[in-house]
Amino acid sequence: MSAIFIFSNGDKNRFLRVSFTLILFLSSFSLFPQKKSGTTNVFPNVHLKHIVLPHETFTTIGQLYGIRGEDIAEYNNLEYYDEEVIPKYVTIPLSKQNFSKEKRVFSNELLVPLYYIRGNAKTLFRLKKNGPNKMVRRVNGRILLAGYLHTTKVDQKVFQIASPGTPEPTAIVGYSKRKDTVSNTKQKDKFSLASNQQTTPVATVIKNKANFLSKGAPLITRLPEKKEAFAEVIEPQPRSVSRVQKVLFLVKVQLSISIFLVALIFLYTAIRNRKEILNAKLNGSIRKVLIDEILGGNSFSGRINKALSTSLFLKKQLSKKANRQFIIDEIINGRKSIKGEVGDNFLKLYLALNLDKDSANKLKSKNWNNVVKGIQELAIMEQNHKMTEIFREINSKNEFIRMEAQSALLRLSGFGGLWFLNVLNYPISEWQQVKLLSILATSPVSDIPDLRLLLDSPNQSLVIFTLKLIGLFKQRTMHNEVVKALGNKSEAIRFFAVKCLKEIHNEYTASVLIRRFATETRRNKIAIVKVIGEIGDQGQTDFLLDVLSLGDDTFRILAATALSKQGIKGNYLLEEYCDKIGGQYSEILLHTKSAV
Amino acid sequence: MVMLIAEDDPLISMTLETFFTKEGYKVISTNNGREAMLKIEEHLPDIILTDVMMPFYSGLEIIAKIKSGFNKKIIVVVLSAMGQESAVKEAFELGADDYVTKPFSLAELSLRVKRLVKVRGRNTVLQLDEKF
Amino acid sequence: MMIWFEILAGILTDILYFYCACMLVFYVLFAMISIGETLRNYKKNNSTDYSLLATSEHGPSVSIIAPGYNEGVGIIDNVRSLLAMYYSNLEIIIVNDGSTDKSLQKLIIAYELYKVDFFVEKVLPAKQVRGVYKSINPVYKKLIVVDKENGGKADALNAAINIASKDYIVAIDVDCILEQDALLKIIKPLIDYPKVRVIASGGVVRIANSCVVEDGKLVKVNLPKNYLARVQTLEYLRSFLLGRMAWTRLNGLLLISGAFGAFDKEIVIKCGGYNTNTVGEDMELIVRMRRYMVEKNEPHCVKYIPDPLCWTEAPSTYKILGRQRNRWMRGTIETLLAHKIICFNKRYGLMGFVSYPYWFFFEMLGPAVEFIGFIIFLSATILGIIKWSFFFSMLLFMISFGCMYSAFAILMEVLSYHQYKRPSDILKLLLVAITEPFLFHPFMVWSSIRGITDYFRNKKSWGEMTRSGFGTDISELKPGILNAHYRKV
Repeated sequence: MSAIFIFSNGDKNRFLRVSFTLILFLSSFSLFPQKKSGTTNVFPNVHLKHIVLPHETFTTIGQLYGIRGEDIAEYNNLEYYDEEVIPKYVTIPLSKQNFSKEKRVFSNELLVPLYYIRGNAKTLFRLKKNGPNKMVRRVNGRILLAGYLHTTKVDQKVFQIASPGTPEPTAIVGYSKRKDTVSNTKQKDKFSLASNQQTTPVATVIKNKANFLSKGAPLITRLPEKKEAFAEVIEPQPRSVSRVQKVLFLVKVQLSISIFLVALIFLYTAIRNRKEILNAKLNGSIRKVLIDEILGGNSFSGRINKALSTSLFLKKQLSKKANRQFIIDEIINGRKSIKGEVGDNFLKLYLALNLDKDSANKLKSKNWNNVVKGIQELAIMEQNHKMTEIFREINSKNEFIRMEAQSALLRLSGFGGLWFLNVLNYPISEWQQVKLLSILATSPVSDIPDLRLLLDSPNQSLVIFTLKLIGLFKQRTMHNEVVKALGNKSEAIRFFAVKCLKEIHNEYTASVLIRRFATETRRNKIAIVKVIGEIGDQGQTDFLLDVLSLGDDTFRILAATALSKQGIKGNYLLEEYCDKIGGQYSEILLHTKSAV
Repeated sequence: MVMLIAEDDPLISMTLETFFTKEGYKVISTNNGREAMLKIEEHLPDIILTDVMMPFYSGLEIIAKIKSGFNKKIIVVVLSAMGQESAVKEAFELGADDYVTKPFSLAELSLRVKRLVKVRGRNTVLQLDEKF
Repeated sequence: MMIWFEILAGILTDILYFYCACMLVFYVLFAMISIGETLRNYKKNNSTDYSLLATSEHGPSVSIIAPGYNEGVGIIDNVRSLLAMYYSNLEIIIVNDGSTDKSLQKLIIAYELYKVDFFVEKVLPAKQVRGVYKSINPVYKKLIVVDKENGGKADALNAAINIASKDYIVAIDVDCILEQDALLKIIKPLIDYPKVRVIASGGVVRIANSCVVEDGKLVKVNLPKNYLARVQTLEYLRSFLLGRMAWTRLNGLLLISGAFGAFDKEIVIKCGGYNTNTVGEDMELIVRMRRYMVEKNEPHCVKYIPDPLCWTEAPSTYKILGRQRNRWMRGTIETLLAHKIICFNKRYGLMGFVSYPYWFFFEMLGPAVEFIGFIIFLSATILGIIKWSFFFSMLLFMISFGCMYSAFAILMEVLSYHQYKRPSDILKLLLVAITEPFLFHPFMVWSSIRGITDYFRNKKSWGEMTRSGFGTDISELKPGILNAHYRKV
């Protein structure tokens, strides 16, 4: 049962990740109880934003808005200090002292009407650039008079004085100079605004969201205002929304994600079902055509072009990537199972269809999965000219590419390919060992390169693999080296050395192993007894009888089994011993006999 | 000659089917052990080509069934990826007539089958002679 | 007085918020890690030729051990499908754990078994073995049937390990239906990591109710018709696709389902085999093996593969399901309390700081917290401390999160293994996701709480209960679902 992902590109995956991160954020934040917001703000959702000019202190700003400097500092979570204000802007609270909804004036106060606009802040911002008149027409939100700001002092530099109809560009420019951030075009805007002040005050209001207008406040008629960039009304903040609303918002988010997921689920179900049905039909037909090509006849290579031109079907299928891969897979599968002339036809077809180009292109892929596939395909199709490219990956950082390159090397050059062991920097996993051994087992027999040096390698898995090779291909000349490996520090290496000796044993092997027995670990002792059973002659019966008398069931059984394999003498001794002791031993004897 | 092919890889199965149909056999193709067992009883083939590892019943069970009484005359050729001695031995001990290791050559397989048929034919004739 | 109560309620709700937040964070993080790991595994699968293990003699040797109690109905087919498994170096050990039905006789007839003289080593403690059977027929030479006195699942597994002669053991439930290549896939991770010792590996378990099974093989996958089984399908999807893989990635896995898992026999024996005194023997074994490896200072890991390899019958009545969950909960408590030394212990690394606490706080205490939290919330609402609107919105929040999570799991299933192909099946699964929080979930919480109370009540008389083993209530159960008592998730 093979699994299929449609994750061919990572996009969907990333989307899911992003969406989940989002939910994670939202849900974790909302669950914590919130701090209460605001203190003395009578008009909770609205405050003014003041862009700080050089040399302004909290006190001077406070004076502009009829409020104490300390209050501003506190409202902004800042510490009050009597020096230049550091932040680029501060928010000004609208409290009872400096704000009222009614037009109530004390004699020493100036009134500045404040407006704000409901609507999208972004829209406003964008429109702001387009000049006043356009804005009035285009803004959807309604303009509302929010109330009046009470102030005692009007800073002549800040609240620009512009007599009706006679703008004073110099003053504005002068002020703009101090504000570095204001760009040239903006200056022009301001200028025109100021000049239009008398006739279209509303425009100014919109432009700044909140504005100081001269017209609405009788006491400051001489204050046509030029507060433009200095103050704005902040739209209602979500911070005072109730917890219930917050949670419900999250519920909505989750439900909409769920609905989206459901849509995706059905979409993909449909896509995959369709694909599967199509593929089931198509794959059958492709297979048929392939087999026809393969079994077509004797003059295959001459016929292939003709066949291809007639076989429009195959050609058509080749244009699709997925089908191409399917054809490659099938050809590889065929090549793996069938040899001889028909098997060669698979190879010819592979080349005739230019599929080797596909495989070669995969080597360049960034995706390790494709590289592995490419190497695999090229190796099975015996594309020797790609060897160098493949062998470069022998010590690749990616374990999968590395392993595939090693397999490819052995597949292409058989035992000769074993040279790579000398330059190997990484351990070989057991799986890889099995794979390499099974490739070697099917490759034509030839001389095995000298493996002597490898046995001294510090790479444990490499030594083990070498021992397996020696055992499997019966390198009897290596006997002494393997015996030396019996003294290795690593238990696992010693274990495989014992196993290896079984395959390449000579008349001394058994006695060497017996000498090792006493100092070995339990696992290796078991291995030794087993091997003695296989290779021993009647000279080892004493040893086996000793083992049989150990107080350990595992060793008793092993020794009994081993003895039973030592010809007549062994069997006789075993029976004699078991009869003598009786009890459990007679059971062991029966066990041994029934196993044989 | 009726030949039954039991092989779970569709490509190999189809290749065998096409190939042996061209060779003049009447081919029945099955994809798993159970289907093969049913078809064997239904069609009584003369030759069976079987894979070893298949769902439901392994190829070995098919051999065992044929050779332990169902119809010993049916020729059973095993196609297997397992090349080790023990596996080959096991199959022959169960009564397989031949064992071909994958990758195999179709031409060779065909020759082996022909030879088996010939030998079997001779034996059958001999047996018949004995009866009369 | 009221003020104190209010403060207390405030603190409690804050703790609850925090708990929920942690849980959600865990869930979401794990889902994301799982996706990454599943994808990686998919890529790896794509270029791996698993048949290597089936054909090569150099592959690791494996003993399948399958304990069964009164499995007579399906046992012949199940054993047959095990025999047809792709693997070269294999033996199959079926343990008849003192069945009172005719399962042994059936096996003897079907597979031509005879009793052999077998000396059983007592490597692990287990009940007396009455006889070991092998087949006369060489086709079945892989098969070993062990007849022993009833001792419960853990005991049966230990007996099988005593007899097993191969290097790795694969423990399965006899009634499980395995995919054809299940063995190849579960064994590969064991030998795939040269730098660490992989002590165990597990596979995904899926629900086989209403699926078409012929001769012990799954022929067609269907969505269960039974509501409970269907909910469990969804539950398993969530747990396996969105949770388990993340644990593998972090190497913090503490559980491999008892229905299908492979183990390194050497380590299993060294740490004493299955514990017969717990109902959660599968989890207990993994935790003990990991502890053993840590104490030996050997780098190790436990691997998990996301491919659906094993299909099992899920309980389909409230009664049996409740009992199953009850047992799982008791097993979890037993395991966690027995190994409490791991908790926040530097030595155990991630296992001590993430896995164990996760299991302790969310898997073990989860249902209790949920239950108590709900009650607190409800009473606070009734007393007027919390507004009803808030209560309901929170409830809605949790439910919608659950739905979203389920939908996500289903999407992953569609994208990855796509077992349920019909859109109507998918729709049914989605409906289940919506109804689950109202019908299934409260029941599950309740069963788990029963498990907790049972644990504390029956602590002492435990041994006897295990001894009755598989067959606590055989008379009410259909054969084939007995093993459902054991943990499959």
